[in-house]
Amino acid sequence: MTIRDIMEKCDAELVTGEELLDREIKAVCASDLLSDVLATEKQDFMLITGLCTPQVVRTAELMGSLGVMYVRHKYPLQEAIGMAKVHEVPLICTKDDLFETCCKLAGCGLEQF
Amino acid sequence: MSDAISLGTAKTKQQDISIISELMYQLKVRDVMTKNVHTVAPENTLREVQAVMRDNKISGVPVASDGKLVGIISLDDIIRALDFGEMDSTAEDKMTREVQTVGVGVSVIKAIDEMEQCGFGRLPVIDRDHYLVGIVTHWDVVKKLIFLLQDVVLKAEARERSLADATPAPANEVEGATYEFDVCKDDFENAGIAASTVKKQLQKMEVSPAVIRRIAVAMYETEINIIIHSLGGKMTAEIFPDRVRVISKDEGPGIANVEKALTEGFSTASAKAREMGFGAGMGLPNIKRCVDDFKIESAAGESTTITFGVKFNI
Ligand SMILES: Nc1ncnc2c1ncn2[C@@H]1O[C@H](COP(=O)(O)OP(=O)(O)O)[C@@H](O)[C@H]1O
Ligand SMILES: [Mg+2]
Repeated sequence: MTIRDIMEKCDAELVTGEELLDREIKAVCASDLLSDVLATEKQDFMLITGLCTPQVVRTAELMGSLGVMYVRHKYPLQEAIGMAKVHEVPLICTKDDLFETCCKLAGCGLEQF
Repeated sequence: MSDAISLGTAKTKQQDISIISELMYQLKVRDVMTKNVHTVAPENTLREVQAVMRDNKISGVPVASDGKLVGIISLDDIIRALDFGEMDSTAEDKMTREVQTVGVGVSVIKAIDEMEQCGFGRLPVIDRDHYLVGIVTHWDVVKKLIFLLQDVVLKAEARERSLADATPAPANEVEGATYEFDVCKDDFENAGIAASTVKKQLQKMEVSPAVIRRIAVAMYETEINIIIHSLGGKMTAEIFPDRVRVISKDEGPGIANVEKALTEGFSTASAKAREMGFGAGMGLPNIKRCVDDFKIESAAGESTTITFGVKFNI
Protein backbone atom coordinates (compact mmCIF):
# COMPACT_ATOMS: atom_id res chain seq x y z
CA MET A 1 0.00 0.00 0.00
CA THR A 2 1.19 3.53 -0.69
CA ILE A 3 1.89 6.25 1.86
CA ARG A 4 -1.17 8.01 0.49
CA ASP A 5 -3.28 4.94 1.38
CA ILE A 6 -1.76 4.87 4.86
CA MET A 7 -2.57 8.55 5.32
CA GLU A 8 -6.18 7.90 4.46
CA LYS A 9 -6.43 4.86 6.73
CA CYS A 10 -4.84 6.63 9.68
CA ASP A 11 -6.37 10.04 9.02
CA ALA A 12 -2.86 11.46 8.87
CA GLU A 13 -1.73 14.91 7.85
CA LEU A 14 1.18 15.70 5.55
CA VAL A 15 4.20 17.52 6.96
CA THR A 16 6.56 17.33 3.99
CA GLY A 17 7.18 15.22 0.90
CA GLU A 18 3.98 15.60 -1.12
CA GLU A 19 5.74 14.27 -4.25
CA LEU A 20 6.84 11.05 -2.50
CA LEU A 21 3.46 9.78 -1.33
CA ASP A 22 3.07 7.16 -4.05
CA ARG A 23 5.89 5.08 -2.60
CA GLU A 24 4.89 1.49 -2.06
CA ILE A 25 5.21 0.50 1.61
CA LYS A 26 5.81 -3.21 2.30
CA ALA A 27 6.31 -3.17 6.07
CA VAL A 28 6.00 -1.09 9.18
CA CYS A 29 8.48 -0.59 11.99
CA ALA A 30 6.63 0.89 14.96
CA SER A 31 8.75 1.93 17.93
CA ASP A 32 9.84 4.72 20.22
CA LEU A 33 13.24 3.06 20.46
CA LEU A 34 15.57 4.06 17.66
CA SER A 35 17.95 1.26 18.66
CA ASP A 36 15.13 -1.16 17.77
CA VAL A 37 14.61 0.48 14.43
CA LEU A 38 18.34 0.34 13.71
CA ALA A 39 18.25 -3.40 14.35
CA THR A 40 15.34 -4.25 12.06
CA GLU A 41 15.82 -6.46 9.01
CA LYS A 42 12.73 -5.01 7.34
CA GLN A 43 12.91 -3.54 3.85
CA ASP A 44 10.76 -0.87 2.22
CA PHE A 45 9.26 0.01 5.56
CA MET A 46 7.58 3.01 7.08
CA LEU A 47 8.74 4.11 10.51
CA ILE A 48 5.96 4.91 12.98
CA THR A 49 7.02 6.64 16.17
CA GLY A 50 6.09 9.03 18.97
CA LEU A 51 9.57 10.57 19.04
CA CYS A 52 9.94 13.87 17.19
CA THR A 53 13.68 14.57 17.35
CA PRO A 54 15.87 15.05 14.26
CA GLN A 55 17.45 11.67 15.09
CA VAL A 56 14.24 9.99 13.94
CA VAL A 57 14.78 11.37 10.44
CA ARG A 58 18.48 10.53 10.63
CA THR A 59 17.58 6.94 11.53
CA ALA A 60 15.04 6.75 8.71
CA GLU A 61 17.55 8.16 6.25
CA LEU A 62 20.33 5.76 7.23
CA MET A 63 17.98 2.76 7.24
CA GLY A 64 16.51 3.69 3.87
CA SER A 65 13.07 3.96 5.44
CA LEU A 66 10.47 5.13 2.92
CA GLY A 67 8.73 7.52 5.28
CA VAL A 68 7.94 8.46 8.87
CA MET A 69 4.58 8.74 10.59
CA TYR A 70 4.44 10.57 13.92
CA VAL A 71 1.73 9.46 16.33
CA ARG A 72 -0.06 11.04 19.29
CA HIS A 73 -0.22 14.56 17.85
CA LYS A 74 3.57 14.75 17.67
CA TYR A 75 4.97 17.14 15.12
CA PRO A 76 8.59 16.87 13.98
CA LEU A 77 11.05 19.56 15.02
CA GLN A 78 11.81 22.05 12.26
CA GLU A 79 15.34 20.75 11.91
CA ALA A 80 13.93 17.29 11.24
CA ILE A 81 11.76 18.72 8.47
CA GLY A 82 14.82 20.29 6.80
CA MET A 83 16.68 16.99 6.96
CA ALA A 84 13.70 15.07 5.62
CA LYS A 85 13.44 17.37 2.60
CA VAL A 86 17.05 16.78 1.61
CA HIS A 87 16.99 13.02 2.15
CA GLU A 88 13.56 12.68 0.56
CA VAL A 89 11.85 11.13 3.56
CA PRO A 90 8.16 12.05 3.55
CA LEU A 91 6.79 12.93 6.99
CA ILE A 92 3.17 12.55 8.07
CA CYS A 93 1.45 12.77 11.44
CA THR A 94 -1.67 11.46 13.11
CA LYS A 95 -3.48 12.12 16.38
CA ASP A 96 -3.85 8.42 17.26
CA ASP A 97 -1.36 6.67 19.52
CA LEU A 98 1.05 3.99 18.39
CA PHE A 99 -1.25 1.10 19.31
CA GLU A 100 -4.36 2.55 17.64
CA THR A 101 -2.35 3.32 14.53
CA CYS A 102 -0.98 -0.21 14.32
CA CYS A 103 -4.51 -1.62 14.78
CA LYS A 104 -5.74 0.45 11.85
CA LEU A 105 -2.94 -0.89 9.68
CA ALA A 106 -3.28 -4.50 10.78
CA GLY A 107 -4.39 -6.80 7.97
CA CYS A 108 -3.20 -4.42 5.26
CA GLY A 109 -0.43 -6.75 4.18
CA LEU A 110 2.31 -4.88 6.00
CA GLU A 111 3.32 -7.82 8.19
CA GLN A 112 6.79 -8.74 7.03
CA PHE A 113 9.00 -11.33 8.61
CA MET B 1 -2.68 3.25 30.93
CA SER B 2 -4.50 5.83 28.83
CA ASP B 3 -4.01 8.27 31.71
CA ALA B 4 -0.28 7.80 31.53
CA ILE B 5 -0.33 8.45 27.81
CA SER B 6 -2.32 11.67 27.99
CA LEU B 7 -0.16 12.87 30.86
CA GLY B 8 2.94 12.25 28.79
CA THR B 9 1.48 14.14 25.87
CA ALA B 10 0.53 17.11 28.02
CA LYS B 11 4.01 17.28 29.46
CA THR B 12 5.69 17.35 26.09
CA LYS B 13 3.27 19.96 24.80
CA GLN B 14 4.09 22.17 27.73
CA GLN B 15 7.78 21.78 26.94
CA ASP B 16 7.20 22.71 23.31
CA ILE B 17 5.27 25.80 24.33
CA SER B 18 7.93 26.90 26.79
CA ILE B 19 10.40 26.87 23.89
CA ILE B 20 8.17 29.41 22.16
CA SER B 21 7.98 31.64 25.24
CA GLU B 22 11.73 31.46 25.58
CA LEU B 23 12.10 32.56 21.98
CA MET B 24 9.59 35.35 22.51
CA TYR B 25 11.51 36.47 25.55
CA GLN B 26 14.80 36.57 23.64
CA LEU B 27 13.24 38.45 20.72
CA LYS B 28 13.05 42.19 21.31
CA VAL B 29 10.52 44.61 19.84
CA ARG B 30 13.26 46.07 17.59
CA ASP B 31 13.66 42.62 15.96
CA VAL B 32 10.04 42.41 14.85
CA MET B 33 8.67 45.95 14.50
CA THR B 34 7.85 47.71 11.24
CA LYS B 35 10.30 50.57 10.93
CA ASN B 36 8.70 52.77 8.30
CA VAL B 37 5.83 54.23 10.23
CA HIS B 38 3.28 56.50 8.58
CA THR B 39 2.93 59.58 10.75
CA VAL B 40 1.15 62.90 10.60
CA ALA B 41 2.22 66.27 11.96
CA PRO B 42 0.30 68.06 14.75
CA GLU B 43 -0.72 70.81 12.32
CA ASN B 44 -2.22 68.40 9.74
CA THR B 45 -6.01 68.58 9.46
CA LEU B 46 -8.16 65.55 10.20
CA ARG B 47 -9.06 65.52 6.50
CA GLU B 48 -5.37 65.06 5.72
CA VAL B 49 -5.04 62.44 8.45
CA GLN B 50 -7.99 60.51 7.03
CA ALA B 51 -6.31 60.50 3.61
CA VAL B 52 -3.13 59.01 5.12
CA MET B 53 -5.19 56.30 6.82
CA ARG B 54 -7.17 55.51 3.70
CA ASP B 55 -4.16 55.46 1.36
CA ASN B 56 -2.20 53.17 3.64
CA LYS B 57 -5.15 51.08 4.85
CA ILE B 58 -4.37 51.67 8.52
CA SER B 59 -6.78 52.21 11.39
CA GLY B 60 -4.63 54.54 13.45
CA VAL B 61 -1.80 56.98 12.85
CA PRO B 62 0.76 58.38 15.30
CA VAL B 63 1.22 62.13 15.48
CA ALA B 64 4.89 63.06 15.58
CA SER B 65 6.67 66.34 16.03
CA ASP B 66 10.39 66.45 15.20
CA GLY B 67 10.42 62.69 15.34
CA LYS B 68 8.94 62.52 18.82
CA LEU B 69 5.62 60.89 19.49
CA VAL B 70 3.08 63.42 20.75
CA GLY B 71 -0.25 61.66 20.21
CA ILE B 72 -2.30 59.27 18.11
CA ILE B 73 -5.39 59.59 15.91
CA SER B 74 -7.60 56.54 15.64
CA LEU B 75 -10.44 55.72 13.26
CA ASP B 76 -12.85 56.54 16.10
CA ASP B 77 -11.49 60.10 16.25
CA ILE B 78 -12.10 60.49 12.50
CA ILE B 79 -15.66 59.14 12.73
CA ARG B 80 -16.43 61.51 15.58
CA ALA B 81 -14.98 64.45 13.63
CA LEU B 82 -17.11 63.54 10.62
CA ASP B 83 -20.16 63.42 12.89
CA PHE B 84 -19.49 66.84 14.34
CA GLY B 85 -18.19 68.43 11.14
CA GLU B 86 -14.73 68.93 12.60
CA MET B 87 -12.65 67.57 9.74
CA ASP B 88 -10.78 70.87 9.43
CA SER B 89 -9.55 70.79 13.02
CA THR B 90 -5.88 69.92 13.48
CA ALA B 91 -4.56 66.58 14.64
CA GLU B 92 -3.15 68.31 17.70
CA ASP B 93 -6.67 69.40 18.66
CA LYS B 94 -8.31 66.00 18.47
CA MET B 95 -5.56 63.45 19.13
CA THR B 96 -5.24 61.22 22.16
CA ARG B 97 -2.23 62.46 24.09
CA GLU B 98 -1.88 59.58 26.50
CA VAL B 99 -0.57 57.06 24.01
CA GLN B 100 0.09 53.49 25.07
CA THR B 101 3.59 52.78 23.73
CA VAL B 102 6.20 50.11 24.04
CA GLY B 103 9.98 50.44 24.37
CA VAL B 104 12.19 49.30 21.50
CA GLY B 105 14.32 47.09 23.75
CA VAL B 106 11.42 45.36 25.46
CA SER B 107 10.89 41.63 24.92
CA VAL B 108 8.22 40.57 22.47
CA ILE B 109 6.47 38.58 25.18
CA LYS B 110 6.12 41.76 27.25
CA ALA B 111 4.86 43.71 24.25
CA ILE B 112 2.19 41.08 23.56
CA ASP B 113 1.22 41.25 27.21
CA GLU B 114 0.82 45.03 26.98
CA MET B 115 -1.28 44.77 23.82
CA GLU B 116 -3.55 42.31 25.64
CA GLN B 117 -3.88 44.64 28.60
CA CYS B 118 -4.69 47.83 26.70
CA GLY B 119 -6.74 46.07 24.03
CA PHE B 120 -4.90 47.61 21.06
CA GLY B 121 -3.62 45.39 18.31
CA ARG B 122 -0.77 47.76 17.49
CA LEU B 123 1.57 49.81 19.61
CA PRO B 124 3.90 52.65 18.60
CA VAL B 125 7.50 51.85 19.50
CA ILE B 126 9.65 54.52 21.11
CA ASP B 127 13.29 54.67 22.07
CA ARG B 128 14.76 55.92 25.32
CA ASP B 129 14.40 59.59 24.27
CA HIS B 130 10.76 59.16 23.24
CA TYR B 131 11.53 59.22 19.52
CA LEU B 132 9.07 57.19 17.46
CA VAL B 133 11.11 54.38 15.85
CA GLY B 134 8.49 51.90 14.71
CA ILE B 135 5.18 50.21 15.21
CA VAL B 136 4.51 46.67 16.35
CA THR B 137 1.48 44.39 15.85
CA HIS B 138 0.59 40.81 16.76
CA TRP B 139 1.11 39.93 13.14
CA ASP B 140 4.72 41.22 13.18
CA VAL B 141 5.44 38.80 16.01
CA VAL B 142 3.79 35.85 14.28
CA LYS B 143 5.60 36.66 11.03
CA LYS B 144 8.95 36.71 12.80
CA LEU B 145 8.29 33.42 14.58
CA ILE B 146 7.31 31.76 11.31
CA PHE B 147 10.44 33.17 9.70
CA LEU B 148 12.63 31.81 12.48
CA LEU B 149 11.04 28.37 12.19
CA GLN B 150 11.56 28.33 8.43
CA ASP B 151 15.11 29.48 8.94
CA VAL B 152 15.83 26.38 11.05
CA VAL B 153 14.47 24.22 8.21
CA LEU B 154 16.66 26.00 5.65
CA LYS B 155 19.79 25.73 7.80
CA ALA B 156 19.21 22.01 8.36
CA GLU B 157 18.67 21.59 4.63
CA ALA B 158 21.91 23.40 3.81
CA ARG B 159 23.87 21.31 6.30
CA GLU B 160 22.48 18.04 4.97
CA ARG B 161 23.20 19.01 1.38
CA SER B 162 26.80 19.81 2.26
CA LEU B 163 27.35 16.23 3.48
CA ALA B 164 27.32 14.99 -0.10
CA ASP B 165 30.14 17.41 -0.98
CA ALA B 166 32.51 16.23 1.76
CA THR B 167 36.03 15.78 0.41
CA PRO B 168 38.45 13.27 1.94
CA ALA B 169 41.45 14.40 3.96
CA PRO B 170 44.70 14.23 1.92
CA ALA B 171 45.70 10.56 1.84
CA ASN B 172 49.02 9.55 3.33
CA GLU B 173 50.30 6.00 2.97
CA VAL B 174 46.84 4.54 2.50
CA GLU B 175 45.23 4.16 -0.88
CA GLY B 176 41.72 4.78 0.43
CA ALA B 177 39.95 8.11 0.75
CA THR B 178 39.96 9.09 4.41
CA TYR B 179 37.14 10.99 6.09
CA GLU B 180 37.59 12.24 9.63
CA PHE B 181 34.87 13.29 12.04
CA ASP B 182 35.02 14.86 15.47
CA VAL B 183 32.22 13.51 17.61
CA CYS B 184 31.42 15.50 20.75
CA LYS B 185 29.93 14.42 24.04
CA ASP B 186 26.17 15.04 24.25
CA ASP B 187 26.10 16.51 20.74
CA PHE B 188 22.90 14.83 19.57
CA GLU B 189 22.37 17.53 16.99
CA ASN B 190 25.26 16.25 14.89
CA ALA B 191 24.68 12.57 15.59
CA GLY B 192 24.87 10.62 12.36
CA ILE B 193 26.84 13.17 10.35
CA ALA B 194 29.70 10.67 9.92
CA ALA B 195 27.36 7.85 8.91
CA SER B 196 25.39 10.07 6.55
CA THR B 197 28.50 11.52 4.90
CA VAL B 198 30.00 8.08 4.27
CA LYS B 199 26.65 6.83 2.99
CA LYS B 200 26.58 9.63 0.41
CA GLN B 201 30.09 8.78 -0.80
CA LEU B 202 29.24 5.07 -1.08
CA GLN B 203 26.09 5.91 -3.04
CA LYS B 204 28.24 7.82 -5.51
CA MET B 205 30.37 4.66 -5.86
CA GLU B 206 27.17 2.67 -6.50
CA VAL B 207 27.77 0.28 -3.63
CA SER B 208 24.68 -1.89 -3.08
CA PRO B 209 22.01 -0.35 -0.83
CA ALA B 210 22.03 -3.36 1.52
CA VAL B 211 25.76 -3.00 2.17
CA ILE B 212 25.45 0.76 2.56
CA ARG B 213 22.71 0.23 5.14
CA ARG B 214 24.93 -2.10 7.21
CA ILE B 215 27.82 0.37 7.15
CA ALA B 216 25.56 3.33 7.94
CA VAL B 217 23.94 1.57 10.90
CA ALA B 218 27.29 0.43 12.34
CA MET B 219 28.72 3.93 12.04
CA TYR B 220 25.62 5.59 13.49
CA GLU B 221 25.54 3.29 16.53
CA THR B 222 29.25 3.94 17.05
CA GLU B 223 28.71 7.71 16.85
CA ILE B 224 25.81 7.53 19.26
CA ASN B 225 27.94 5.57 21.74
CA ILE B 226 30.65 8.24 21.65
CA ILE B 227 27.98 10.92 22.17
CA ILE B 228 26.13 9.25 25.03
CA HIS B 229 28.85 7.23 26.80
CA SER B 230 32.17 8.97 26.27
CA LEU B 231 33.87 12.32 26.71
CA GLY B 232 34.05 12.74 22.95
CA GLY B 233 36.19 11.22 20.23
CA LYS B 234 37.14 10.90 16.64
CA MET B 235 35.89 8.65 13.88
CA THR B 236 37.84 7.88 10.77
CA ALA B 237 36.39 6.15 7.75
CA GLU B 238 38.67 4.89 5.00
CA ILE B 239 36.89 4.10 1.78
CA PHE B 240 38.69 1.68 -0.52
CA PRO B 241 37.39 0.55 -3.93
CA ASP B 242 36.17 -2.73 -2.43
CA ARG B 243 35.64 -2.08 1.30
CA VAL B 244 35.33 0.40 4.15
CA ARG B 245 37.33 0.51 7.34
CA VAL B 246 36.15 2.54 10.32
CA ILE B 247 38.19 3.43 13.37
CA SER B 248 36.58 5.11 16.34
CA LYS B 249 38.67 6.31 19.26
CA ASP B 250 37.30 8.29 22.18
CA GLU B 251 38.78 10.03 25.20
CA GLY B 252 37.41 7.65 27.81
CA PRO B 253 36.14 6.84 30.41
CA GLY B 254 36.33 3.37 28.88
CA ILE B 255 34.42 0.16 29.52
CA ALA B 256 35.21 -1.89 32.63
CA ASN B 257 33.72 -5.15 31.36
CA VAL B 258 33.81 -5.30 27.58
CA GLU B 259 32.25 -8.75 27.39
CA LYS B 260 29.25 -7.60 29.38
CA ALA B 261 28.93 -4.45 27.24
CA LEU B 262 28.67 -6.67 24.17
CA THR B 263 25.65 -8.60 25.49
CA GLU B 264 22.22 -7.63 24.22
CA GLY B 265 20.29 -5.49 26.63
CA PHE B 266 23.21 -4.35 28.76
CA SER B 267 23.23 -0.58 29.03
CA THR B 268 24.47 2.15 31.34
CA ALA B 269 22.81 4.88 29.24
CA SER B 270 21.46 7.98 30.99
CA ALA B 271 17.77 8.85 31.22
CA LYS B 272 18.35 11.60 28.65
CA ALA B 273 19.81 9.16 26.14
CA ARG B 274 16.83 6.85 26.65
CA GLU B 275 14.41 9.73 26.21
CA MET B 276 16.00 10.31 22.80
CA GLY B 277 15.31 6.70 21.82
CA PHE B 278 18.74 5.23 22.51
CA GLY B 279 20.23 3.16 25.31
CA ALA B 280 18.49 -0.18 24.87
CA GLY B 281 21.78 -2.03 25.01
CA MET B 282 21.47 -3.15 21.39
CA GLY B 283 24.15 -0.94 19.84
CA LEU B 284 27.33 -2.97 20.13
CA PRO B 285 25.60 -6.29 19.27
CA ASN B 286 24.02 -4.58 16.26
CA ILE B 287 27.36 -3.15 15.10
CA LYS B 288 28.92 -6.63 15.31
CA ARG B 289 26.05 -8.10 13.30
CA CYS B 290 26.37 -5.47 10.57
CA VAL B 291 30.12 -5.69 9.91
CA ASP B 292 32.52 -8.31 8.55
CA ASP B 293 35.26 -7.86 11.13
CA PHE B 294 35.03 -6.14 14.49
CA LYS B 295 37.49 -5.29 17.24
CA ILE B 296 36.92 -3.41 20.48
CA GLU B 297 39.64 -2.36 22.90
CA SER B 298 38.80 -0.72 26.18
CA ALA B 299 39.38 -0.74 29.92
CA ALA B 300 38.11 1.29 32.86
CA GLY B 301 39.68 4.74 32.83
CA GLU B 302 40.98 4.39 29.30
CA SER B 303 39.79 5.28 25.84
CA THR B 304 37.60 2.94 23.84
CA THR B 305 38.76 2.03 20.35
CA ILE B 306 36.45 0.27 17.93
CA THR B 307 37.63 -0.89 14.54
CA PHE B 308 35.45 -2.53 11.96
CA GLY B 309 35.43 -3.31 8.27
CA VAL B 310 32.80 -4.09 5.66
CA LYS B 311 33.46 -5.52 2.19
CA PHE B 312 31.32 -4.44 -0.75
CA ASN B 313 31.09 -7.73 -2.66
CA ILE B 314 27.85 -9.63 -2.33
N1 LIG C 1 32.39 4.61 23.63
C1 LIG C 1 32.00 4.10 24.82
N2 LIG C 1 32.54 4.58 25.96
C2 LIG C 1 32.17 4.08 27.15
N3 LIG C 1 31.26 3.12 27.31
C3 LIG C 1 30.69 2.59 26.20
C4 LIG C 1 31.02 3.06 24.91
N4 LIG C 1 30.31 2.36 24.02
C5 LIG C 1 29.56 1.49 24.73
N5 LIG C 1 29.78 1.62 26.05
C6 LIG C 1 29.20 0.81 27.13
O1 LIG C 1 28.64 -0.36 26.57
C7 LIG C 1 27.25 -0.43 26.86
C8 LIG C 1 26.52 -1.12 25.75
O2 LIG C 1 26.58 -0.33 24.55
P1 LIG C 1 25.45 -0.51 23.47
O3 LIG C 1 25.34 -1.96 23.14
O4 LIG C 1 25.73 0.42 22.34
O5 LIG C 1 24.13 -0.12 24.22
P2 LIG C 1 23.59 1.33 24.65
O6 LIG C 1 24.39 2.35 23.93
O7 LIG C 1 22.18 1.29 24.22
O8 LIG C 1 23.76 1.42 26.14
C9 LIG C 1 26.85 0.98 27.12
O9 LIG C 1 25.70 1.10 27.91
C10 LIG C 1 28.07 1.53 27.83
O10 LIG C 1 28.09 1.15 29.19
MG1 LIG D 1 24.77 2.29 21.92
